[in-house]
Amino acid sequence: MITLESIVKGSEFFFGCYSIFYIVVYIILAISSFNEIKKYYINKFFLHKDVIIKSNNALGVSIVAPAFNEGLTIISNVKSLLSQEYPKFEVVIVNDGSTDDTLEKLISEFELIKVDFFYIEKIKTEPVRGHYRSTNPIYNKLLVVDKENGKSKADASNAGINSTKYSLFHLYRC
Amino acid sequence: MISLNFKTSYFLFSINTENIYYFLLYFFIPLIVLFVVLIIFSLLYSRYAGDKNDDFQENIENETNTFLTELIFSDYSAPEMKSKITEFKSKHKLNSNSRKYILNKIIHIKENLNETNEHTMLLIYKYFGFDEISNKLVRNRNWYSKSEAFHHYQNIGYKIKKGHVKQFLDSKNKALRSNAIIALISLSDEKFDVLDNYKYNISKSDEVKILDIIYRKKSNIPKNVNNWLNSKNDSIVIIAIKLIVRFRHKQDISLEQISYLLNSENPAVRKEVILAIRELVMFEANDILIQHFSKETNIRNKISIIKTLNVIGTSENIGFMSVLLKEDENLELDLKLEIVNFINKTDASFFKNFNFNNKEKNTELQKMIAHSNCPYLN
Repeated sequence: MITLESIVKGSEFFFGCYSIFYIVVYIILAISSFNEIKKYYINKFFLHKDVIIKSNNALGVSIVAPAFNEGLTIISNVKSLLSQEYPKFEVVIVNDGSTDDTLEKLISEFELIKVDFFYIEKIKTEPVRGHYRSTNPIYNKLLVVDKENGKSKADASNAGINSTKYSLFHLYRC
Repeated sequence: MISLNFKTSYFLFSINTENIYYFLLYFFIPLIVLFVVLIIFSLLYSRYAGDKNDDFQENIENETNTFLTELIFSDYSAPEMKSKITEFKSKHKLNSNSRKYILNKIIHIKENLNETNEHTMLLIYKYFGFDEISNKLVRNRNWYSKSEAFHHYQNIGYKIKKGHVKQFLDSKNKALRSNAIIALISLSDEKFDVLDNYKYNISKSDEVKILDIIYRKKSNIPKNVNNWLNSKNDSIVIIAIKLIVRFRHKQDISLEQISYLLNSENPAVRKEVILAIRELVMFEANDILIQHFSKETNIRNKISIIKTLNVIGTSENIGFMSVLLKEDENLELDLKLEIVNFINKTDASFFKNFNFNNKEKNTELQKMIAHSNCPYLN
């Protein structure tokens, strides 16, 4: 009986401490994110967007976005990603073995054709079926990678990273 | 030992469930609730105050736009301008928001209108009393207040304040130092000699800002660019090379200098030289690049060399490339693809008679050729 009572008291004690710890951690995170956001806005004030947009010396950035069964939203998402003001970028969409019409929609909307892309597998991933580029020059910053489903976003992202042109990349969720 | 046991038992006694419950009930939860209520009230108040101020602000903004247009485009003498501004200030009770708006408007006009008279803009800035605000900001402890003042001086072209900014060039705060150097370059004459002895690393974003300032001055290439090429600070060397490329001043960089800079320990400097050779189409640097290729340790720079040779090189380079392709079986695939692309673009028939002994390598080669021939990939 005494043992049971001490177990109950012990677990109450544990959950009490855990709750306080949990709240304190989130308060610290909130304060530090506030500081970081403040820092970001201050730095942004001193680096005008126009300067970067006009510059020939901006670094190239690849936006990698894995998509699995995103047929409903994929077109608007890709159009949104392609409408960046940043001067030097490419958008790499990875169709992670979708079972819906994600790839078909991409092909018809962006006038894609399968290309002989020499794929270098620097990071091991599930097999890649092919790469697609648009025949329409308006979408020349778009590359679509079609691969077998790896049951993880990380695997799809890695296939996208393997296909990027620029060494800086940004991972995005479709 | 006894006292330790006593302390431990006291600790366990004092932090029991009941105490935690009371701590949460009477201290922690009320504190959180109070905090949230305060935030909600401050948000509501700021919204109310903002709404109340909106009409006034809108009116001030309209008045300011008309007034500034009149000041800038009329031929008022300095005393006339001063009396007009004093009249405007007495007519409208300016608060910090409206002062901020007017200052930003002056800066915006100065940045975007080519035909504005620098002296007139400076007078408007002074007569509104913004120089006092900027001076106060410089004296503020926060680095961003100081930087904001530098931003005012820089955009208004307040050259006399260079001395105030210069003292922050050696600041321990990286962001403050960076804003100080940008402001000084903007305020300096066409020699930009502040860069001559600058010893700190310049970030990529600052590099873009510095180049933008120099380009916007529409001057010729800075006269001391040759000194910058010999600077011990690699960031300055990179800026010098970029300027030579931008102003197409091939004559400012000799083959000896190219060889010297290609031996730099910093791969970023080497990369910039390789890009400069490509951009300036320096055919004469072909042999130097080929000699440097085997010494280059950075794979990205090696790829850059091949891309540059693709622009400046001749069909004679195919021999060098084919030897690389055949002799080094462990060549990185990125580099190999670039070499195949180079040969394929220079002599499309070359690969008809070229084979590896290994079947797998031949299949790989065919895929690379297909990639190189694809019009949508290059």
